[in-house]
Amino acid sequence: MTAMLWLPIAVLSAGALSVLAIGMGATPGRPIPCGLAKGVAAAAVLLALVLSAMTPEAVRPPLLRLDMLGGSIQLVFLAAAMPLLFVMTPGDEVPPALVLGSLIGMALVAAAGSLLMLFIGLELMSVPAYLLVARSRSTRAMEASVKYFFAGSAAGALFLMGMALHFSAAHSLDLASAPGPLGEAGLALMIAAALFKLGAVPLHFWLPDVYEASDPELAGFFSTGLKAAAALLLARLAGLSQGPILSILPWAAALTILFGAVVALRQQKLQRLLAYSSISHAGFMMLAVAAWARQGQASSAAGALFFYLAAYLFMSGGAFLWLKVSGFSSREQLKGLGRVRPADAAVLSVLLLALAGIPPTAGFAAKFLVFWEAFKAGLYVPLVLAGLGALLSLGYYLGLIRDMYFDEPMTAKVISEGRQDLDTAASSSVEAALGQRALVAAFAVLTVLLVVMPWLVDGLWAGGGR
Amino acid sequence: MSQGWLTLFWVLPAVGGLIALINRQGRWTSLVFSLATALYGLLLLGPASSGAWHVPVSSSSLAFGISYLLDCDGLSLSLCWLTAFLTVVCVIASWNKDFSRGYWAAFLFLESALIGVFLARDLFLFFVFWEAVLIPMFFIIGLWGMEGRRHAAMKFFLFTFFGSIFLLLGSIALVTRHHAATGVWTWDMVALKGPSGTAGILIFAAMALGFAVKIPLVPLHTWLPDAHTEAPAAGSVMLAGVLLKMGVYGFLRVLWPVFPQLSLELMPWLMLLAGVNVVYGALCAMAQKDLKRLIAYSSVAHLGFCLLGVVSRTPEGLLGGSLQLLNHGITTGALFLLVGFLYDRGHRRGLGDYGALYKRAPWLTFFFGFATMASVGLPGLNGFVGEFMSLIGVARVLPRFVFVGVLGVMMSAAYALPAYQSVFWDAEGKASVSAIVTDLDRREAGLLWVLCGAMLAIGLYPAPLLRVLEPFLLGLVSR
Repeated sequence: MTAMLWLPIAVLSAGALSVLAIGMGATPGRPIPCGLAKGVAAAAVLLALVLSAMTPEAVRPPLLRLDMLGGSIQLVFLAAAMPLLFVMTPGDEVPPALVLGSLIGMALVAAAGSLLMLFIGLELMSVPAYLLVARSRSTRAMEASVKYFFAGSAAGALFLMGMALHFSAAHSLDLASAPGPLGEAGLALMIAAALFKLGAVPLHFWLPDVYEASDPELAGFFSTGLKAAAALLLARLAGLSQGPILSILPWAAALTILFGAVVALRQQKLQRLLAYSSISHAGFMMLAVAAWARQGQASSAAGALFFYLAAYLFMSGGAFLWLKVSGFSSREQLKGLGRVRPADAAVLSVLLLALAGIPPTAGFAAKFLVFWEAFKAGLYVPLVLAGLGALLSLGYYLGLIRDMYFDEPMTAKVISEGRQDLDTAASSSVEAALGQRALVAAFAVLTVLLVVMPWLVDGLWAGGGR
Repeated sequence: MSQGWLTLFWVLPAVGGLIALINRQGRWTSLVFSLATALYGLLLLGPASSGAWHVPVSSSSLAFGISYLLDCDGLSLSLCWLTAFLTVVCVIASWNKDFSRGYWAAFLFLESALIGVFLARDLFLFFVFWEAVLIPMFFIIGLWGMEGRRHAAMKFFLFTFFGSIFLLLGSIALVTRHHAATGVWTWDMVALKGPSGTAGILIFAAMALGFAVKIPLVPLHTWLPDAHTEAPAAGSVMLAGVLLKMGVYGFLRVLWPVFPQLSLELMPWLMLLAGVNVVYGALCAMAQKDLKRLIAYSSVAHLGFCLLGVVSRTPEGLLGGSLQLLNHGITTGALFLLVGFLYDRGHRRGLGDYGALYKRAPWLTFFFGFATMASVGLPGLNGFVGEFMSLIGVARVLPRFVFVGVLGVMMSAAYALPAYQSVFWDAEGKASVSAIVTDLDRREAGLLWVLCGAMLAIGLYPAPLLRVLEPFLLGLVSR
């Protein structure tokens, strides 16, 4: 039965190899069938998704261990890859394979039973991400990719150093607490690496540039899939700690929430704004992790973290996809959109209201659950700060809605100048894609419908307060 | 059984809103559905007052102790009536406006959320409706308002959301504490009991902060003048008429039953806050040169008066304060409507922009005078009854504050009457635009006949309405 643990990873790997094999058949006369590559990749992800939904909780020492938290978050990041694979327009077979490679790393993080596996997973999910950024269409993609690479390497180095300290304290790489100050220091370094990946303040500096230079759909995947995996990584490590780290983490979360919200207020470029908003949301994920760890890893808090990530997948993923479909890049261009393109404006408004956490959207339910768990964990002051962060974030979420509906439309010329940095062919083909529009609309509808999920799927939240 | 019928009450306007969005006859749809909702509300009087629908405290709930639980007693029902009535008034008042269908839908969505607030018995459900009110109002102000609408809409939303965060955190704290004390997870307002001591005060303060923004209590009131002034006329009617009541309703429905002891202990402080509101609102109103802004500030003062009565926790005070909620909705609704009609004609709102309107618009003058008299508490009209009863309530517990109340009444005359005089009776100034003002047409006059009739009826014979309000409010005292 424990062999089941390898199955999603095996399927993803086989998918990645097959996608690469498709590319091998290309000759100068025969272009690479990118659609086929995307299809195979999507099929692999779908199969992995089904398999991991069926995978029971299991332990296969010494390397693998899949629990409820890992299993459910695995669903989130696998699902996050689907819209990316659906929307992306790769020039050859490599990008879909890279997405699968990144997913393998995430799946390893989810199922890791030892620090070694966590590290391999961390690196494996990151390296393809650097390459994916480099292959984005933006002129600044290469610069961002290099920046991402160095920041990611620093995180990797931190993790390795932490592992070394941990090993010297515990004489093992198992996922278990290491005694003494040495173990605590090692854990702190590893948690710093996880915070790096999550984009927590002050380790977030690479994130806005990377998200801005990436294609929107890719940034959406980073903000939902990679972030879910990073949150899981953080939870795995925070679960090992009993020491001062657990009392610092909520404050770091509050700082991240507030900082992301304040800086996002001033952003004029939409992708950069969403990047800072994703930093703010990372703070809420950290708060959920802190509440989970401080309550002795209560399953109800795990449920709150999972639901936050699941809701965020649709809200943030939807917002980035919306940017891709609409081709807009700056706040200016949104002005008066409610009159020019009412359907687009309505879809974005729903997504933004969800991101802001206004009922009746899943974003509200997600924030409520995190507040609820954080309160039970006794994190009163960070909680109030988080609430103020949510208030600040209204300034830009609601501000965008205000721009769309209450301002006069920009002239047609300015709108058509959108995304000057991209080749025009791509953005015009984007205009026509009906399927992509439907996908974004579906995301918006789901952000509303998901609101009932915490109350329907009761099993996940055993002890949630019955 | 009752849940279904009550659900229909808030779903009906929401369905109407959806229909208004998708067809071309937005105004007809909104008229039909707002009328239907109002009639339906009247039909609910029988079952709601008989107590047959009273839902006992039940343990069955969804996760986290949250349940879908609606309840309707006299207080809820009368505020729902006010909502439904004013929505109909707003729809008819905007009839000649060339607004897009979103406008008509927004009013129905607003009505739906407001009725939800007044019907909810589950605190979580209450909060969800509470927040849902913001969205249609945000669009009503921002899309169809005056010049400063952009800013005012944001300010309105952000202020209320600020309070809501504390309301939510306070609710979470309350429920968690209740569980710690009793071992039961519940969000049922009837079952919840607040802790005593510091924790109780903190929770009380957090939740009261959420309600205070809505009332609004000074110094959290600064969103109000902007929102009321920049909103379209019908939006101001709903804002002043119903949205402000949510705050006082929160005190009555949530804080009083949950903190029976604490609310008595904190009474002097709360009364001080209410008294500050009465005086400060009146002083601000005196300084205004803009008619709409003046009425907006007068709402701050009047809501302070309502709170004064409600805070006293005597039968007279509670009844008077609650009745005053309804009165203020009707009276100030009528005043905002009249200013809107005036603005439609003269496109000005300044006190000095008109003069001698009685010559050109006698009906406008008459109705404005009538509503102003009701607003300042002329005996025989509705404002007098509510204010008088509130003052009796205050006199029974803290007689000192009666002076504040009386001062407030006098000051209300001191700002309302000169304003009325300068716009309608004084000689025209140089910049006067009175010449282009025409009198009310039949539709507008008809609306005001109804509103002023209600003012007179409540003023002369308030007993039936008080009987509707009584059961819940007297229950608060006997506890």
